[in-house]
Amino acid sequence: MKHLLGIKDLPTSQIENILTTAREFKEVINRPIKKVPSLRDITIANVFFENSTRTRISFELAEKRLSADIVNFSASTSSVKKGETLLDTVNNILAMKVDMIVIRHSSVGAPHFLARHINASVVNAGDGTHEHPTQALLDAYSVWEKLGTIEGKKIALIGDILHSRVALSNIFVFQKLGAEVMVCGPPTLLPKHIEALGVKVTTKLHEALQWCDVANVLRIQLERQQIKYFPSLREYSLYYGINQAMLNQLDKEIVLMHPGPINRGVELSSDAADSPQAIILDQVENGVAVRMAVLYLLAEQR
Amino acid sequence: MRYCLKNVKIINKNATFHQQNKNIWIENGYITHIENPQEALQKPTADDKVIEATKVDEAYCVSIGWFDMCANFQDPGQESKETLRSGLQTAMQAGFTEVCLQPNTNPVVQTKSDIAYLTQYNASHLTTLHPIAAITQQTNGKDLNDMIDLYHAGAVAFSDGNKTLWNTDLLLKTLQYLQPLNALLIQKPNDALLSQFGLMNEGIVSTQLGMKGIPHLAEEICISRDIDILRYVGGKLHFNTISSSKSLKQIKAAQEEGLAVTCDVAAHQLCLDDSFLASFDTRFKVFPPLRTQNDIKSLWEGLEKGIIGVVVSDHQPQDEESKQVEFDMAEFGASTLDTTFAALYTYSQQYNVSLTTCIEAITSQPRSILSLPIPTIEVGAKANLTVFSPKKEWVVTPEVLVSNSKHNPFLRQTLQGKAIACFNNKQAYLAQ
Repeated sequence: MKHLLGIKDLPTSQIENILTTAREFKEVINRPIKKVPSLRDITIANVFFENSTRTRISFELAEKRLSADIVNFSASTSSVKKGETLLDTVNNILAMKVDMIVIRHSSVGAPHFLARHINASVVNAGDGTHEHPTQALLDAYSVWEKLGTIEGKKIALIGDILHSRVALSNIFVFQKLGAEVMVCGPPTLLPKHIEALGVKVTTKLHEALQWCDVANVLRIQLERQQIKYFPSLREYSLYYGINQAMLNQLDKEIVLMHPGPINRGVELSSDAADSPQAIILDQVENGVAVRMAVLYLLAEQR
Repeated sequence: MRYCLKNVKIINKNATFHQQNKNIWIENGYITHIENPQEALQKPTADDKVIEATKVDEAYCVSIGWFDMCANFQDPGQESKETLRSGLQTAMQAGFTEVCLQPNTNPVVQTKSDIAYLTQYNASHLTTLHPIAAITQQTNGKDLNDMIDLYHAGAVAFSDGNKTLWNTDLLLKTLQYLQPLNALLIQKPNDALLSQFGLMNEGIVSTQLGMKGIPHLAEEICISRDIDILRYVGGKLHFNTISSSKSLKQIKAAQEEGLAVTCDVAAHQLCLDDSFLASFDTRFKVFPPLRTQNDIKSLWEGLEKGIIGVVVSDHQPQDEESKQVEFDMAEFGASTLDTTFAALYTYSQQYNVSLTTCIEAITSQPRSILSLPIPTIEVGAKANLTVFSPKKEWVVTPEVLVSNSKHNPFLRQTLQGKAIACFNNKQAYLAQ
């Protein structure tokens, strides 16, 4: 594994390797001394062309706890339009002897484009509406940790499937690990050919909740919707928002996940988001361990 | 200088000598002799240039000069991508003796002087350029250009090129207005709203890649509505670069009904499917987008049955700055003129489409649709010929591409078939 560009082409054995390595790092970050010297000679650039708080901090912490040297570069994509191309920007950073690039970009395939043209290892921290592999890995890890296994479990992805890179990476990772996946959302937010990926499809929230063991509730990506896909947030939250009362009506206790940041009162009500069924903050903690595992394994290959 | 095409097989469906091997002599731009190689009376002298395959079983073929009905040389306006000079050179070396240029330059082709600029080398260059003039000013889809005037100035057809003429009333009026001239309206079928923000074919691959798709429907819905207008008003309508199997069904039904509707397909559209996009390689970002194997199969059938008359290059050269960027920011279009015939012929063999059909689609058919004179292979005729080797294999590398733009979708592939020589305008080109 030279790069981590997506889950689609990642062999299952490597996914399992990342998850077991992450378990070791989770133990490390819960020690009083949270730092290991594994990446002492490695310099990593976090290049974020799109706003991010959670993912950037998570990567930064993972890097720091592995003792890597880091530089952060944030720019809006609009500055690219002003002149410098993505390739130039990254080559300029690499000229300062950087070993790895963690990139988030609003364009699909931007990390793949870089991986083709540069020498450093590339980690995809989210590319447009395509993939967000480390999020999928930490989601898988969190389910594994909570339920003891992933194989045979039923995972429902609920919300804006069309614009969500988390959805796509989640579909790939959970299928590879033997889970069943269902997607649920208003028809306009479901890709027309999504069934071809081997997932169940429903537009009824209740049906998805009844079916699943785990509900991964996705953000409404208003910033990524170039045109109107539904009439109003009010109507969306009424028909696709999840609250504790709905969870209480189910005949089993399901696990509730969310990749954050939550639009409280839209896709999740506060009582659901803060309920014991929700493992949203565990996901955040596991994110650091999983990213440490990814960076560690990539560095090992250098 | 006299040229002797020795023992060449004539591929020209309606010619007397179709599928026969002949010696053809060309002098001062005219065909002077056509002889049976076994009974040749004409003997080459040291001053004559003989064009002959080195191996007997790889004999060259000859057809009337190849004709590309849809290309862009980006000049004037975006000369960093291609120029008239480099485009002409590419066309000639690829075997094309005549090329139609789309009007999407900057400025748009909409005045007599725009046409004169594009035809300035026609007297001196082997390859003749035929400008297609814009229907509306700046291709804005609103205000009509002076089409009669443009027609008399040399416009061979009318089209808003890469932009679809979406205004139904204006389409109707243009079809009417062009009738006294018997001129052709060329339409790129696309519903701009259904395809907006789309980057590739909408299908399984776009779903896997998380990319906004361009549905087949965007093309089909435009074809369906345009055919209804054609039925209502009459005229001659040609659909440029169709890509969907259902489009083909609609056009077939309209043709059977007796409507004057024709269509073309880009050679790369017959060869490559949307799975190539998985690499995010911008060379495959074209419009219409690369579709599915099912579409490709239907398009070949359409070509074999004559529903699709014409194969075009849809040459849209782009520069590095437009292509070496993130996929969604890259321009649509690929540099394809260098490889149009080779791609067409290489892939035709997988679909059992004959060489004759391929050649018709780049020779007689486009000229017939445009009501342009069709050259002949007869003694006394002007030499407008392309000599080619169907057997010759070559690897597509940036070095062998003549176009200024190297973003060719067949890069690194081995293709079969290459132009060896061509003749037109009293000039000759011989490949080294």
